[in-house]
Amino acid sequence: MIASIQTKDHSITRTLQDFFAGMLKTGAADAVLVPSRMSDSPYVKPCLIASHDRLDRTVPLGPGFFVNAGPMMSRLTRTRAGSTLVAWLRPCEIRAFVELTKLRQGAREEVVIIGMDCPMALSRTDYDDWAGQGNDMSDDVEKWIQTVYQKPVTQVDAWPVSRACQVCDAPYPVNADVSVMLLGGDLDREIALRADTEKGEKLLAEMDLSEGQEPERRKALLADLETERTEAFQAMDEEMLDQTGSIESLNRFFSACVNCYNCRSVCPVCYCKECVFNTDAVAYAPTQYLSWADKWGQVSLPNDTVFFHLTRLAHIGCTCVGCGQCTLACPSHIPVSDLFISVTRNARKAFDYVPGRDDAEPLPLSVFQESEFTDIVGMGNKEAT
Amino acid sequence: MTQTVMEPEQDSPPKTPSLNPDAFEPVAVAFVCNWCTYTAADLAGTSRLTYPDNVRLVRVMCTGMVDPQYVIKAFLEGADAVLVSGCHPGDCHYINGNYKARRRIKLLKQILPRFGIDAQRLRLTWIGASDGIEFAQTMTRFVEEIRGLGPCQARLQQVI
Repeated sequence: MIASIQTKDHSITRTLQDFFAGMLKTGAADAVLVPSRMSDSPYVKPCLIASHDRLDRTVPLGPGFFVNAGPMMSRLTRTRAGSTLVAWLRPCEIRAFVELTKLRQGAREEVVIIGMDCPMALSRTDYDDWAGQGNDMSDDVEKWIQTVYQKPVTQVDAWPVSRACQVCDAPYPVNADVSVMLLGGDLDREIALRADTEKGEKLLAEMDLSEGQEPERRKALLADLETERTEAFQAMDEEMLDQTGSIESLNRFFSACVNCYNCRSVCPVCYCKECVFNTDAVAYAPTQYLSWADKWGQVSLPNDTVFFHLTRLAHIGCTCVGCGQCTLACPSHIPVSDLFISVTRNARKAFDYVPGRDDAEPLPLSVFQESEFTDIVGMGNKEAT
Repeated sequence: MTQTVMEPEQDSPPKTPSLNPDAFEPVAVAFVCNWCTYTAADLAGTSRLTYPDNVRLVRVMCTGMVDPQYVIKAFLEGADAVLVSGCHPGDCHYINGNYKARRRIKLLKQILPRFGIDAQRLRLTWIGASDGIEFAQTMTRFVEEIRGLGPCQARLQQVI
């Protein structure tokens, strides 16, 4: 089933706000989770909104992406709340939530997920700059929306979208209950929504919308996007191999890292309650430091920087959703996600796994088959590297 | 307390690690499971079998508990190779820990070569509790193979 919402007053933001307000008024949703500004600040965060008159600060589509809502969904669905929640999520937020549900960190029974063709994101500094350009952010938001959905773009005016977005291979909703098909749409006139599940159908039916159809150019645009982004990924992959192809260059790549662990805090799939890097496992005895200094001639502190990043790479090797939050959060401007996306997207091929692709697809490291990877067992193997 | 003055050893190794292949003495870390490979190592010992002392055994309860971080840490601390060895498929004391280990090793073999750590430096074997001879032979072959690969770059400097 495909429905359509008529755009009001040439404002897509306003139209979507009314759409959410409608859900709350009719009782189709008890609360909606939508990115929203706090007071006059340009920064947006996922906001759980229960009152239909509190939607005017929401920014459903825009370049602000400072929190991946996947873990927030986990907080909201950890146990049953007995109410219906509608969540408006970016594709990488859905992927993160899907991975978290596989890790038993949330459940989607009581949630209706509305996913949209992705509006992409800006880096933090570029966002400051972008948000500061005019007096009223809403005009800039509308301009952003009108620009990013008409053809594949990697920048809007002077602002390039984040690298993670430039190489994202799934900028459209997968595993959503409702997919909002914005790419190639005549957004001044209407917004098309497709119900992908029974829950989605029920929601759209309750909203009493007119019938719609997928924008004609959407499939062609998605194909164009895929081609462009595959090329962009390959370029980034080569760049990363060049910059981190040896332990020595990896050392250089992370040399500005201050072990603040921001990348871990914002990572939607780094879910451990107690990370090993916060435990006594890495609280070495003073003599250990002296022995290292003795062994290598010097030891720089804090240590375990590359150890931390490589361990995280192995831990989230199959589940990294490529949202780019780690780069956005890095105070030392290390392009963490460039490396993580490039390494994990290649590594998980061994398990033919794609995070967020399928709810029913088990996590590769939680299952096994009796007869597999037999070529890596034993001495004398010369497996290709 | 009396102080013992130690005579310096005749040919003490150089303080700074060397990449000189002639002076290369490999260091290998082997994570062996309590129920099979460690028991085999014990059997090798009681049977008076010999194998190179380049291998440092770390006994773990199951290969299924060898988190990737242990392997990574071993490499970053200067190990030239890492071996994970447990029970044969079907023999795991914890039913399927070794199958899970195999997937983790596979993942690490996908990741580490990307940073210049050759996939052949990370090995997985199954050695049963009664295979003392096989244990000694495997260790000998393991050390030979690492010798062939040469020193791992990570041993040269502190990996931050």
